[in-house]
Amino acid sequence: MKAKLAATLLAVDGMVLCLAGGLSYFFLLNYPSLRTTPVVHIAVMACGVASGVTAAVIAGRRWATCLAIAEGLLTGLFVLLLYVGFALPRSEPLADGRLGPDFTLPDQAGRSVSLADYRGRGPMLLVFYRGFW
Amino acid sequence: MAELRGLGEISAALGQAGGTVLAISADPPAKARQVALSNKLDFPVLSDASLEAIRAYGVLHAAGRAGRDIALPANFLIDRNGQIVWQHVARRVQDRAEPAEILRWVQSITRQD
Repeated sequence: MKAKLAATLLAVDGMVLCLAGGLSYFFLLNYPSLRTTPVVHIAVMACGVASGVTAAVIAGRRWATCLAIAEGLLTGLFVLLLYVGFALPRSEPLADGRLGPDFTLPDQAGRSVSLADYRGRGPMLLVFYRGFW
Repeated sequence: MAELRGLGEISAALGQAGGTVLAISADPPAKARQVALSNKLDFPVLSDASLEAIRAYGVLHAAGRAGRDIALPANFLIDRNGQIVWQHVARRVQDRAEPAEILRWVQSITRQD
């Protein structure tokens, strides 16, 4: 009886950890370090899988095994989505130490801005963003 | 886009040193204006619809969104002599440079100046 209760709790706990670990990634996209290195999320999901597998071993029942497999699949899917589905093409960026190529582009007020305007004045940070959100 | 909002401190540090942040995307000027207004940005938001700068820096993502050519998320820090001193180019859609790391680089080159 006690073993069954423990198995049920572990199985539920495993699923909760898996879902929380995976879904929270998409709610925490405003934190650059979390979105760039999702190890915390993957670790939480792995704990969920471990919990589910333990439950399956204790219970020795079909439902617990199915749940453990589902948790494993969810975790695999999450990793695949992040590292394959969301992979970007490799760029051939310019080497450090090279001169940054000049450009002249309109800003939000319609004024022309050139990189060369700032040469000798101060450091510049170029931030390329995807846009079209 | 969220990455543009987190640049306040970096923008201030660059401004003090005589430089600035330049945000660049393939969006048309009207969209760049909207981005600048809605995020209350105090630095130029440039429209690179012809992909001039995006190609020159090697950060083109061909057919990256709904079949349109856009920029990869990327940062280039350029010193006052025009040389690239640090860069970050995203490998996944969600990759972004850490604002704290950018600020450290900005501070290290402004100190040298």
